[in-house]
Amino acid sequence: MKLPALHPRFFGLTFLLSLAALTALQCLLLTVVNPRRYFGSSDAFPQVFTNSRRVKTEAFLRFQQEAPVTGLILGSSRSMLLAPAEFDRRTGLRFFNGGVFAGTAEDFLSVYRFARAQGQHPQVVVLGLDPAAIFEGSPSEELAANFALASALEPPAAGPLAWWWHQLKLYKKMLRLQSLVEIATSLHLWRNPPEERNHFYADGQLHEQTTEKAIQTGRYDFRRENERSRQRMLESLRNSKGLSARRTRMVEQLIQEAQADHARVIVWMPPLHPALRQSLTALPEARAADEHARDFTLSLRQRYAVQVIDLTDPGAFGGNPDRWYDAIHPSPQDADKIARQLAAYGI
Amino acid sequence: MVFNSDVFLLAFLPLVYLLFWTARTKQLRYVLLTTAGYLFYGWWDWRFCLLLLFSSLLSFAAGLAIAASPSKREARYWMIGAVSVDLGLLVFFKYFNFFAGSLRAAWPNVPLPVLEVALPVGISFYTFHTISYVVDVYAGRVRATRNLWEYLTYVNLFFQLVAGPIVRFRQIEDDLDHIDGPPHPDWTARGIAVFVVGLLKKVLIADHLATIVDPILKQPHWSFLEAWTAALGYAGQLYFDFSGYSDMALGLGLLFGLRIPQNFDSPYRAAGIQDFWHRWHISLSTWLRDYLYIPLGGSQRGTYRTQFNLLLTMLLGGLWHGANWTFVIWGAYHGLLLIIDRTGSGVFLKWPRAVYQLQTFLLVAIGWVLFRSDNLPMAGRWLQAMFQLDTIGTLAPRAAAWMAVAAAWVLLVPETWAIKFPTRLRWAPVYAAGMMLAYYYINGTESVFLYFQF
Repeated sequence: MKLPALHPRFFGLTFLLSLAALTALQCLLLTVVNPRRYFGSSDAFPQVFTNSRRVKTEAFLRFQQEAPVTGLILGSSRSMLLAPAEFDRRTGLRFFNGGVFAGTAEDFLSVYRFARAQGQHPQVVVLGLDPAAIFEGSPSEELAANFALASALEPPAAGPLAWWWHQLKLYKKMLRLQSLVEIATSLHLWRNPPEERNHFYADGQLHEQTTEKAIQTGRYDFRRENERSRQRMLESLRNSKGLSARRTRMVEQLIQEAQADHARVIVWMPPLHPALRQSLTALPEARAADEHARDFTLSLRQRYAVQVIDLTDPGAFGGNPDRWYDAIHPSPQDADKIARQLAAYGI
Repeated sequence: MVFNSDVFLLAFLPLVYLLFWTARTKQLRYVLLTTAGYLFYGWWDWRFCLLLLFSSLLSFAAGLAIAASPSKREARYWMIGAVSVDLGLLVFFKYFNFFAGSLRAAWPNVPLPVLEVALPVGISFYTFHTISYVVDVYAGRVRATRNLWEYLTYVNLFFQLVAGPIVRFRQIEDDLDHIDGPPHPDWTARGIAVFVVGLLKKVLIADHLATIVDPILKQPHWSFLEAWTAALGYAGQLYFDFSGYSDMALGLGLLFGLRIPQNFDSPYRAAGIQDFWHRWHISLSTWLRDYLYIPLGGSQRGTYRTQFNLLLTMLLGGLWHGANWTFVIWGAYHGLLLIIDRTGSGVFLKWPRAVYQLQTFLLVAIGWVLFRSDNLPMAGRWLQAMFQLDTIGTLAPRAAAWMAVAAAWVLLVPETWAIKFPTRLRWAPVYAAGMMLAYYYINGTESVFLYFQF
């Protein structure tokens, strides 16, 4: 039998090597530019989205070094404005705000377990539970990308190779066109640095810098932002696929684990702008979805003997919705009122 | 396992390719390709491998028996016996419940059970492979192979096993005989290029068109524009999906030293329905012509018999696609169109070619409504919406954009097999970039080929 000709082999080999080179180049760019901060390697270039899960885990590790963390705030962006200092003053505990953007039940459970895995024993857990957190939906990619949180949620099976396996899967997942766009965006932002949009205090509290600056200079259009977020919220409620059995189970799991660790759990329902509440009454599908989530949250009171505080009506904490960032995010002043109200309910 | 999956692209294909070219002997390569075929096929459900093996062994044995028959009469018995068993299996697995349900609907007192049988993937395709082999051996068009592994390789080629093209033994017999040869210069480059283009057609165009068509069809009612968007979008989706799959099969064949015949020839540029069937799913239309239409008498027994033959062939061709009245009616619709096209060709051919092409495409697209509909009421509502102007509706810009892309490709880009892909080494990185682009769309998604259901 004749030996195979060289040309076809070389072509196949060159094709495979080219593929490998392109993949390696993209992985290198993802590592160096790190536009989503999924890879722990570099912060040299601007991020295109705030990776709040990474910010919070890193902040927590620093925060706990100074003194034990004895209180934990969990929730979505609507909890992120709550000042841990308010809780500290009233309880004498030391709170950390572990809320994350678009936080869902899996985030709450993973952040709690992450805190416990660091040897911290929160005595009070304040959980801001909004409907989207327990509705059916895809798991957060940001959470899956965060090894510390992802492995807190589901302990990895791969043993000592777990981290490497996780990184490999993450690089593979990032082989998509969007990653190239984000790398380009990050490089563009590096040449034209924008103002930092969000700032996080050491205790995890969010300070929306850009929004605050726009408000101070009179450039913030409250009405427009309110209307936009109201429409978005109604749309998401209308399109919701109902309560997620997996997510509601995770909320229950969190409560059970916290109670087993002798922590008090306080669940609260974040406020809605009166205009949004009004719109809900006119949309039966959206209202039904909201009520399902509300029924589940209220049922926790009986089933787990936890404090459930309904702050969906801004009147419940003396809020001033006119100055809210939008239909679901209260102003920092109202966030402080919420914190005080939560404390007043028995922390 | 599907071509656009991680397990195929990152594990199965590289491993089989490496082992194939490492194996030195013909027999070893046959064994390897057969094993790969069963592994590929068994990925869905290993139990169906037994059926595939039975069908393969039966036709192999029938081929030998026909070759050894002392008389044509005995050979004929063997041929009829093997074809009957093959067709019996196809009818049982694919059509039993359909016929039982239809009979029960007509005569409710007929006690026919509904069987809980799953449809084996690709049964329509490999049954046609085995039937064509047995009939060809009987007709003396092909020698009966004595090498079981060679035959198993032919039936179980993983790249054409579940969705074609329907390859006849004689079409690849020569390549199978020389399978132990070295890789052909240019075939690797051409194979990679054709595979990549096929993959891009699937993931870049067909899958995007699916995201436009599927949500529309989930709605209970459609406006005029929505109905047409869905019909034209599906026409594009089906073409890019199936021709993309066929291209990939062709490309994979070349990578393994086997020339699989082309399955498409720019069908939406056809002028006339006869021309369309010379260009669409060529391996099926020629199979139906050679093993059904011609044995029925073809066009040699007068006008009415020809028309009857055409209608029956297309009706059975429609039924081959699936056990549903929508496919039967779709087949009959094309049979009628073929009769009209043949009868009126003198007039049609005087039309400007572009008008004739447009008419052909629109008639085909209307036929796809039947083909895509889940049932006859859905087809009725869809067709009604396409011809009712009381609710015009709006055309989403995204839908318009993707349909424009698909139309531009159909009109401007030659069929993949006809493209003279450069095979110089410097083009390897270009094909790699194309592969990378396709992978961006595959990564993290799951999408099956439309023709897998048949």
